Amino acid sequence: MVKKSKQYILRAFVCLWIPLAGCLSQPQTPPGYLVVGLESSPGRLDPRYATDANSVRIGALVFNSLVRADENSRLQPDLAERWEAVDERTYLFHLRNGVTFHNGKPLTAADVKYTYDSVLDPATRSPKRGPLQTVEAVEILGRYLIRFRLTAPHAPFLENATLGIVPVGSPPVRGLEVNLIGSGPFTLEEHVPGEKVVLKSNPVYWEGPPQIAGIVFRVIPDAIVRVLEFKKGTVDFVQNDIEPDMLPWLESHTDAAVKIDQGTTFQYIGTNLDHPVLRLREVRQAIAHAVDREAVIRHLLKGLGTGATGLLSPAHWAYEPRVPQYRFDPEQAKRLLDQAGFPDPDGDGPLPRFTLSYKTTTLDLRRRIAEAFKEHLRRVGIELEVRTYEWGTFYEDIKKGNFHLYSLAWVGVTDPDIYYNLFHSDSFPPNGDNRGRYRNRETDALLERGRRSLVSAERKRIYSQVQHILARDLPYIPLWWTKNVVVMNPTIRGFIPYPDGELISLKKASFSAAKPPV
Amino acid sequence: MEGKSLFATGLIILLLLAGAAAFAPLLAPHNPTEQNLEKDLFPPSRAHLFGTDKLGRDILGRVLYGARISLLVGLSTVAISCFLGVVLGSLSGYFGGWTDHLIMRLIDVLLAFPGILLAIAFTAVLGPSLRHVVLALCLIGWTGYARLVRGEILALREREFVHAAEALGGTPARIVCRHMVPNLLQPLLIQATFGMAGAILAEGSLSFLGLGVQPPTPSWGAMLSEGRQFLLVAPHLTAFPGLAIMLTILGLNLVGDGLRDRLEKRGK
Repeated sequence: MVKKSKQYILRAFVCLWIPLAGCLSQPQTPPGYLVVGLESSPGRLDPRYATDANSVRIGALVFNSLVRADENSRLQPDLAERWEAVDERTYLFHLRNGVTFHNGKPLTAADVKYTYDSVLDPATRSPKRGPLQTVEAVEILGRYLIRFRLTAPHAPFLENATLGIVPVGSPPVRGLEVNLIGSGPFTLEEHVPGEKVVLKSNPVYWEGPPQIAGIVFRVIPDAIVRVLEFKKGTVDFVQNDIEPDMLPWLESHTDAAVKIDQGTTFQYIGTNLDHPVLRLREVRQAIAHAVDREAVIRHLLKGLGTGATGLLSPAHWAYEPRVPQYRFDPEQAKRLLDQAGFPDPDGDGPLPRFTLSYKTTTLDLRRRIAEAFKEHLRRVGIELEVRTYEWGTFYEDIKKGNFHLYSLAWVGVTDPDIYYNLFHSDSFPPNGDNRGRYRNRETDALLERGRRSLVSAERKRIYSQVQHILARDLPYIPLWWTKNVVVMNPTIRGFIPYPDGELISLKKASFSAAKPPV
Repeated sequence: MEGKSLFATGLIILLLLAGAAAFAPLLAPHNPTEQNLEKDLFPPSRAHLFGTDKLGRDILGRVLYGARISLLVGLSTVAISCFLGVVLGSLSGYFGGWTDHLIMRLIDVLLAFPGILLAIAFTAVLGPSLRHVVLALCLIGWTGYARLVRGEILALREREFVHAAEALGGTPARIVCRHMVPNLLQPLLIQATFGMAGAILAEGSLSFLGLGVQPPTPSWGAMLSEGRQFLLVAPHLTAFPGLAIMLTILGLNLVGDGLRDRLEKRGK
């Protein structure tokens, strides 16, 4: 009897634990390489196509651009030693001499022209073509001198000069990206989609070769496995992909160096203004009052967020703090819903005023936040149907406008012209990202002025008004600005966190002690 | 005696679980969906015997209510898959020829896809719901039973008692139902016990992907998936739904083996 029972227990255990054991594989890492754990796989690394955060961050280590934002979001010279605005519609870039691509070929104005022309060519189908549509011509004035002519004054133009440069003749890569050539501090050694990206130090990098031998970006979708791999020493660095509740554990059970800084990533609830209920401003304001974002920040995010007032963070030059804000006030939410014409049919009874769906991804934290919101809205009489999808399906639905409510984040906001892309009535998909179909003539006019004006003070005034209107209309219900959390091997030196999560400073990182082979 | 006590233990476990599922509203000390963010990840205590989850919900209540979903999915998946598998496997094994070819090739095609992928595609097309999860799991689930039954029927066809039944003019349906299927009960029971465990875990995977039971409805598999992230800081989140699954599997195994022993003895 005892023997048989043991067999049964063993069988049951085997059933339960085999799947988890499979996750803890032992990958081989070349000596001296830094291993970064990623939650999701980067998409396409070709800078003409890279749009997701991981592709952009990895791409920045392989490709140089004319200019690059520093850790304070200010544009700094990269391939362009200097630049000048000849007039409102003409920019001149003086390229750095002596920069070579990974294949040894020198980088010249011809390569810059080729890259931009390639993006502007409709046949390339680059998602970056839209923001560059004001570029009329890219002209070579010398081996290291290039001119951009615009069709109209366009204040955020310089932001588009952060496009990675590829050599003349590089075909747009559609399949496996193994032959991508850039001029950055690392060369692309291997890219296995869904598994890993391996970068190798570029020994002839024009700023001096990186001190680490290379970087392996390993895709480890499971949060607990990322933590265990870090503890085991097979992962050296994780940024923002750690469950907030795991931080105290990591600090007490490992020698991890943990850096927490205020980030600029903006988390929000998007609304569909074509929806018969959500098109009413009072309803959106009621939702903003009903959601207890402070409780979510305190308990689910463990304080790793700051209540947001809008898309631009306080660190941004155009940030406007005096906008309408919506504190947690369920009674006010109920009053607004009554005013909007949705009285509660049975008081505290189970019948809702109306039902909305809320889409989010299957990531654990996102699911939990969705469940908390469901409960908050239930208390004011709104039934929320939480729908969770894997990232691809979710993002496709959002891009198509197939939602009532959803939650997403904007990462790396630099120029406030992003408002044009998000809220101008010309920016309905596929022309832009106004996915909730927000229409407001006053906002449209301000956004058009904002992108034409080249005077900082005037732009600040314009975007201040825009922020006021959007905080009143609430096409996005602001949630929080997330803090950046970096957990890394304590022997790593020289890494500087960027508020938008950029990893470019890894080019100057090093190990203070020899890294033991794992 | 030994077999009897094993069988009885298994039966008691299963009856207790079924009772817990049926009387969950009476047994649960707290509402399983009621949140209290202030009480997140509380360890087991007098107020919350199984502790609380990340949203401060009572885990005991969720395990009790989760039993309803998990047992329902497990039982209905096994019942439908087993029925389909026995019918198609018997046809294939008894008649052979093109019927056998057709059914076996269909199984080959279905097995060429990873099971969970087909289930994901199926539920993604039809939309997330409990019924669709069961149908999706049956889509592949029946193939195992069909292959098993076909193999057994092929062996049984050569046995004397089948030849005797044929000589006496028995119809194929009668021969299969009355003489062959009772001989298949043993392997079918073993397959069903593991099939049920697999179905409970697969339901968890689908719920985790957002294609199964929608939050905040509790199911053991989904609780296991949710709690996995807190394995190091709050193991009680996974321990209790994990134990519930383990007990169910144990109960099914004991009952399955007990039944087999009884049938074997009767056969002798």
